[in-house]
Amino acid sequence: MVEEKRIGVFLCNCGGSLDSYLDLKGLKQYSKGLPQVVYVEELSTFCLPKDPERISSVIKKENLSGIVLAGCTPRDSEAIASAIARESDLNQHLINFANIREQCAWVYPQRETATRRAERVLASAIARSIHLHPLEEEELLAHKRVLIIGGGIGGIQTAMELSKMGLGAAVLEKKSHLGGLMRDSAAPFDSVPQPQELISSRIETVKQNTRIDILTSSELVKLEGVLGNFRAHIKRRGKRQTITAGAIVVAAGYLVSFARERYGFPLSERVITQSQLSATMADEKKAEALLGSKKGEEKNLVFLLGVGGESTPLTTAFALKAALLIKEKYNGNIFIIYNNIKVAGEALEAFFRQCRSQGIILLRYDEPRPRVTISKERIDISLSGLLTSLEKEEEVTIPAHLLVVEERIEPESDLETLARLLGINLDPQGFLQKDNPHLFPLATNKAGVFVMGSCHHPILLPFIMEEAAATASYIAQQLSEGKISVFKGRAVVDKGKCTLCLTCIRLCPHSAITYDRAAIISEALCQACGVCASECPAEAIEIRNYTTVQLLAEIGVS
Amino acid sequence: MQKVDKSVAIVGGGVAGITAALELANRGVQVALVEKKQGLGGAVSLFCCKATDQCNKCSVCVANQRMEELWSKPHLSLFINSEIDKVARSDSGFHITVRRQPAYIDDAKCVRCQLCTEKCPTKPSSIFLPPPHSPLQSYVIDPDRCLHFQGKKECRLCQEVCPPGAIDLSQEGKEESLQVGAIVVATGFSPFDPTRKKRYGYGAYPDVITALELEQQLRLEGKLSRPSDGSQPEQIAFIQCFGSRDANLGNNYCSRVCCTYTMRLANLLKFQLPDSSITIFYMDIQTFGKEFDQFYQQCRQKIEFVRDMPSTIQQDGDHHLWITYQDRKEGKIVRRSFDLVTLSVGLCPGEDTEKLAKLLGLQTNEHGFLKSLSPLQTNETEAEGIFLAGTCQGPKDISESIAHSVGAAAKVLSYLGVE
Repeated sequence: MVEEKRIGVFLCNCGGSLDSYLDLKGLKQYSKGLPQVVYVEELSTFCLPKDPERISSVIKKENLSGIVLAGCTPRDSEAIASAIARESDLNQHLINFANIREQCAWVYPQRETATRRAERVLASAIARSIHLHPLEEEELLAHKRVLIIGGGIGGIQTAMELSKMGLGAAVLEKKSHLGGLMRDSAAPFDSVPQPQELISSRIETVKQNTRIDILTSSELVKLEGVLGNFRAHIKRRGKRQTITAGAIVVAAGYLVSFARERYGFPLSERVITQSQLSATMADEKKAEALLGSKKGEEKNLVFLLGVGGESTPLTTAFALKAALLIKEKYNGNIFIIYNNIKVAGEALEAFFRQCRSQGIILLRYDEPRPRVTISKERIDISLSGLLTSLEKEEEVTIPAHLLVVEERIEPESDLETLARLLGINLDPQGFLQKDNPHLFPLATNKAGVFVMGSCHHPILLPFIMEEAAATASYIAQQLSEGKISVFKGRAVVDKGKCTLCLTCIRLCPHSAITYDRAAIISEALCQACGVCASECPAEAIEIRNYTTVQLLAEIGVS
Repeated sequence: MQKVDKSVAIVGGGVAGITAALELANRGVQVALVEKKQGLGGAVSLFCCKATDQCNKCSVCVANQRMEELWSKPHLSLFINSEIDKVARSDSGFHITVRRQPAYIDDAKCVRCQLCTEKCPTKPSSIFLPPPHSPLQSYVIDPDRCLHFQGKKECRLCQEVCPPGAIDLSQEGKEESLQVGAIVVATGFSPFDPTRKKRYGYGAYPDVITALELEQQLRLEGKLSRPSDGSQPEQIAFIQCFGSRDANLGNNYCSRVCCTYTMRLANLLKFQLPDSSITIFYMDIQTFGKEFDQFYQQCRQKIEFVRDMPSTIQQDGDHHLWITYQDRKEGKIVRRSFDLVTLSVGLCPGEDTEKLAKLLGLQTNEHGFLKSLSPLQTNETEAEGIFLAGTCQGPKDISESIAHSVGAAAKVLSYLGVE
C-alpha cells in the first residue's frame, strides 16, 4: 500500500479570465472531495512570480507531499516547478500540472461541459500525483579529458579546440603518423592550396601542447564505462593499455575507390584517379613527365565528373583547383566534363568561373552519359545532346591524352567495427549516424560519444573546422565542471523478474544496458525513453514516474 | 591580456542567434540577445515543415524548439524590437547603446488569457494573438485600427483589464546601454529581391511566386492555392538559381540551400496533390548534405527535372503561364503551360549588413556577406572580440547554421577565457 499523501491543488483563474468559462468554485469543491487532497486554493496567475512564492509557503505550512497546478501549461512550466521546488524543498518530480485552460475552458462552448471536463482532468492529475515518486539527482565525477579517434585534420583541430577550453585530449591514430588524408594530399585539398604546410604546422602545435597526448599506431579494442568516465582499452604497437576519458570523439576519415563497374574501363597510365593525380603533382619531376609537353605538341587533359555516381563538392573542388594549377604551369588544353557541377561551397562558383576565364573548357552532359573509347593510341570521349543548339544526333569527340576520373567517397572499412565497439549507429551508406541531425548534429545515440568530420558525411574543410569547435563546445559544456549529474534510479530493474532474455539490451537505442545476472541500466547513459520498459516480456523494468501503476491510476479515473 | 567582461551581446534572434545564446547562457555567460523584430525565430519562423508521411529533415521545427528553450534560461536578457545604435570599444570590451522600439505588450508578463481581445471595442479586435505558427509569440496591437492610437487617447480598456499588467500603451522607445566583453553577429540573410530580375514576370503575373511565399502559404494555410483565383494548381513549375549563380546580377555564388528546399517543397506538394505534375528547371543540382543524393534520386522518380533555365514566361487570358525553354534532349524550343510558377530565390546578404559592418568595423566580402578572418576561420573576424554566426557570413542551411553558431559560441568562450 502506498503511503498516504498530502496533496495540494492550486487552481489558477488566469487573472480572473477563466471565471466565465469554468465554474471554479465548483471545481474547488470537487477537488476537496478527492482522495488524499488536503488543501485547495484558487490563485490568479501562477506563471508570475508572486503566486509561486505563495504556493511554496503553503507547501511548507500545510506540509504538502505533492501538488497539482491546474491552469494552463505555460512554456516555462519547468522553470516554475523548479522555482517552487527550490523554495519549498518539495521534490520537483512531485509537482504535477493539469491543463484546464486550453484543454477545457477554451474548447467547450458551454461552461457546464467545460467544467465537467476539467473535473476529469483534475481527477486524473491528482490520481497520478498520489503515485509519484521523488527523483533525486546524483553528481558523478567526470574526467576532464577526451579521447579522440582519428589523427587527421578533424581530430587535431578538435584536440586544439578542447585544449583552449581547458580540457585534455588523447588523439588515437591507427597509422604511425598524424595527418590523415590531408597529409597525403599534395595538390589542393578542397579549399586549401598548400595542404601539407597547413597540416604539418598543426601537427607541430599539437605535439607541443602539454594538454594533448598523441598515441600513434594505436587502435581501440574495447570501451567500457559511461559519459564522464569511459575506460578505453587500446592496443598500441601490440601492447594493451587503458585510457580514461570523459567523452569520446570519432574523427575518422573516409576512403576513396574507383567504381570500375560504373565506368566500364580500367585504370591505366593514361586513365588515373584524382588521388593519383594529386600524388603525382607533389613530385615535380613526375608531374612534368605526366603533364608537360614537348614543343609544338598539344596535350588534352580531361577531368570526368559524375560518371561513377553523383559528384560531391569535394571532388568538384579538387578538379577545379587542380585544373587551374595545371593550366598555370603547363601548356595544353584542359576539359572538365561534368553532369552536375557541385558549387555549393564557399567560393566554388568563383573558381568555376575562373576556370572558364582561364580557357579551361567546361562541358556538361545529362543523358546520355559520355562514351569513352580507349584504344592503343588514344582515348576518345564522345558527348551528345548537350550543348546549346546542337542537333539531337550530333556528337562531339574529345581526344584525351590523360583522363582523370572521379573516385567514390566511401566509409572506412573498419568504421563498422568501431561503431560496434562504441555502441553507436551507422547510416544506410555505412557512415556514422548522428543522433538527431537537427538538434544535436554532432551527438550520437550514446551519451558522451560524438562524431565529427567526414566519418559521418564527407564535408569540405571549413565545415570540419566549424564542427571541431562545435564538438569541443558541446563537450566542454558537459565536462568542464569535472562532474555530471544523473538521475538516481530512474529506470528500475526487478532482478527477481528478469529472465536475462536480453530483449532490452538489443532494443535500447542508447546502448545503456549491460547485464550481470540481471539487466543493468546505466544511470548516466539512460535517457528514460521507456523502450525497455514497454518491451520487457517479463515486465521487469519500470521507468520511475511512468510505472504501470501510475499510468493505470491516471487513466483509470478518466 | 586585459580582462574582458564575461558577457556577450548577440545581434539577431534567428536560429543562429538563439543557438549561440543558448550555448553561452548554458555556460554561465551573461547574454543580451538583440532582435530587430518583435518576434524571435528569424527567417526560419516563416518556413513550413516539409514532412510528408515521414520527416524530410528540413530542420524547420528546430527554431521553435530552440525558442522554447530560451524562455527558461537564466543569464539571458531579451531585447526585442531593438536595434544597436552605437558601439564603442572600452577597456573591458564594448559599450553598446540599444534602441528599443515600443511593443506596448510585455511578452514576459502576458499570460495569453485573451481578456484584452474580448474587451477591445473595435470589431474585429485590434489587439490579437497572431495566427498559430506565427513568429510572434505574444499579443500584438494594430496601431492602424486601435482607437487609442487613432485619436481616442482615453481608450485604454485593454490595459485596464490586463490581469498581469502586461500592456502599457504609453510606452515609448527608449535607449538602453550594455557593457559586454564580446559581440556575436547573427543577423542572417535577406532572400533575393524578386523584383530585381524581371524576366519571369514576378509582380506582373499573380501566379508567379517566390519559394518563400510558397513556404509562408504552406505554413499559415497548410495547403497551396493559386493567388489569382484560389484554385488548386495542377501543373507546377519551380525555377532554380533565381538570383544565385548569376553574374549579371553580381551574385556570383551558389546559395546552397535552394536545390534542397525546392526538392523538399516539390516532394511535399506531390504528396499533398498526388495528381499534380511538378517540374523543376535547373542548371546543376547541388547535393552536399548527408543523404541528399539519395533524396535527389527519390525525387527524380516522381518529379520532372528539366535541365534548362527558361527564357521567358508569358501569361495568357486564362491565367495560364507559358514557359519557353529549350529541350536539350530533343534540341527544340518548347512552350508549355503551367498553373503556378515558383521562383527558387537565393540567399543574399541581410539588408542592414553594410550599416552593421560600418557600426562594428567589419568588412564585407565580394558578395556582400560579412567577411570572416579566413576561409578556415569562419567564426572569427578581423575585429577583435566580434564573431560571426550563421548566414550573415555566407549561405548555409539550418543545421549548418546551428553548427556554425555552436562554433561561434565556442570561439567566444575561449576568447572570454571561460573554461
